[in-house]
Amino acid sequence: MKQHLTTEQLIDYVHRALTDAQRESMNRHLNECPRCRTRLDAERQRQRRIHHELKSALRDKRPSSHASFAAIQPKLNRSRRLANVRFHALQLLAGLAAIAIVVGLGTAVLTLLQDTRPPALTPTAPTPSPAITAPPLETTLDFVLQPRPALSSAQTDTAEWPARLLHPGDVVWHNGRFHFFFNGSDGWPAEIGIGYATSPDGRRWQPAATGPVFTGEGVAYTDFTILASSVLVEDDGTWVLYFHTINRDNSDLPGVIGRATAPAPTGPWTADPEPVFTPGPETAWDGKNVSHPSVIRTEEGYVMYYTGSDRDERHSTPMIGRAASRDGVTWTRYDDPATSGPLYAAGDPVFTLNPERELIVANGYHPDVVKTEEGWLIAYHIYDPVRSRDSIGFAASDDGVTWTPLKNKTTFSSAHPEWRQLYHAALIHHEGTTYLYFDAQRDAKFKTDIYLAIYE
Amino acid sequence: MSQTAILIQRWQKGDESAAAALYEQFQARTFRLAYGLLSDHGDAEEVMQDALTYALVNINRFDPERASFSTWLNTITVSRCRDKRKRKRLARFSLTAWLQRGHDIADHRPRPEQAAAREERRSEVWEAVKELKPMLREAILLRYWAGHTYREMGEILDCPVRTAQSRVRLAYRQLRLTLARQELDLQEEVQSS
Repeated sequence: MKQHLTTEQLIDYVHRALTDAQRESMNRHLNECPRCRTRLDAERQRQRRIHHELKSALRDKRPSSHASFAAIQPKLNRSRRLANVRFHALQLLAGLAAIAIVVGLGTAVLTLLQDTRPPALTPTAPTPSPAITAPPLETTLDFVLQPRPALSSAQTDTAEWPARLLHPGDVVWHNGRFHFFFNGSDGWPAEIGIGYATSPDGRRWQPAATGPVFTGEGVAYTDFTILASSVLVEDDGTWVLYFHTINRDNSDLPGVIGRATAPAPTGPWTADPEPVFTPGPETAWDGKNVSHPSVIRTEEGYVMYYTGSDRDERHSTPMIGRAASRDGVTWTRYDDPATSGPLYAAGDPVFTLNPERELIVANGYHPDVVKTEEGWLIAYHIYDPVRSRDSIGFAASDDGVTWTPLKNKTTFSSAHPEWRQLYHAALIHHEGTTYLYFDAQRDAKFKTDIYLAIYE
Repeated sequence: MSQTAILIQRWQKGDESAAAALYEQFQARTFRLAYGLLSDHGDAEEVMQDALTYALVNINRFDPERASFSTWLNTITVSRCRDKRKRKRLARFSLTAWLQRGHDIADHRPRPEQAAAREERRSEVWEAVKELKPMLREAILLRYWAGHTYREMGEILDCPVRTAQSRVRLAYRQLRLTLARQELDLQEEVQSS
């Protein structure tokens, strides 16, 4: 194709409105034609400007305070009562119709069978429901909740960066201070920024930057945002942050794990151009999404724990997996040679509360792992769909592969009178003390604070 | 399971705090989409409340297999905005007729929203979006602002995927003229300085 591309073609190209053949043909031309490449770049820039200006124009638009949930509550209750009445009336009608059909069919069958010998009936054994045994729990932990939030949304919700929904990312000890990387956003769904705070003792925190130090904007493989969950400092002073991507609802993109590095905790952070860990084969237990990496250094290199799921998040029963790496970039899944079949052929989960993968059984995911003098400790989020309850679970291990669930003397759960929901947990072990940070939502307002519990 | 899915499950079981949390989560986003389509604060607020009430009351009709909650909610919001526009158009027609009968009801004092509009940062793209036909405006907002796929847009706008695609391109072409004009002005400025 010697002629230059038309504007229409370029517009179709940036809007992905071409057939594969048309696109290939245009790619061939673009490879050889710097002028059309420049025009294509200009077209992409215009797209970005439209996107950016629309976002800016609408970003500050907010409904007035009287348009709150309380304003629609009476209408909601009234309509729901009516909807229930209608629903039950329909159920009653459906039930009556079903009885009529069964009676009709039964009469017909009896008529047909009147002159025939009844067949010998073999009683069918009832199908046993999957035996789900609760894992053994030993009361060995004693994390004590500190009276005030370690970091509250009142400290981070500023005009410059309204971070009112906080989730712990990770805490590291470096150069005589604790460094906290937290995820902050103005509600949900919204873009998440990674904030940074420091503390001399791990108990009282002060944000050390006025805005986020890193966001998903520089991450090419997400169409929405990221959530950070692990941070390390290398021997050469490089800061390394691991995060997972969060895609827009119903997105076809998988959830993947990425990495960013920086010379200092405040940045500038640079994301690796490609994700460092992606879902397993389509049929594997972690074939759809991998998320919430928790990376720790070992003598051999690095170990990562992560949440994996094999279906869209809305229907998934996630489990916790493990992978190892020499350089923190190329990872190999833990694979138990004893297991087979498509689900576990490429790798095995190392921890689950729900081995039968039932949708209505309490499940544990979003791990954070630390190595202590006594072995490995994991904290994870439990969601119990039957009781609609969040809590934080713990387990210990000697080798990082076989885990025994543990019970803390106090339960941290949304059953607590002051908390509505809990989401994420982050652990750090420093000089014989283990610090547990977790986020809790206190009231119907979409704000979370980060609480601290200490185990000495 | 996503937080939204958990909240939906809770609300389906009757936990009102989950409904409140869903409302909180989607309130600003829904309002912004409605504002983007209507450019009127009061109308957008009304549509936002109406759409969220409908979604929460009819939560059992929501089918996560078919679409995500935000796609479903945006479908309701776009439909409510269309209704709003239709009603306003009818009202305007009758008002015009009333004015033609010789009554003067015009109030030339700037209304609060006009004053606010003057103060807001001028964006030529946004001004150009407001000039688009409603169906093109819907397409550009759903694609460029809300980030929906063409398939989702087809569901929201109740049209084939290719139609959604061509509406986005048509809207883009119109906005592109505004951008190209600005680029030209900028070039002239650079050359003359």
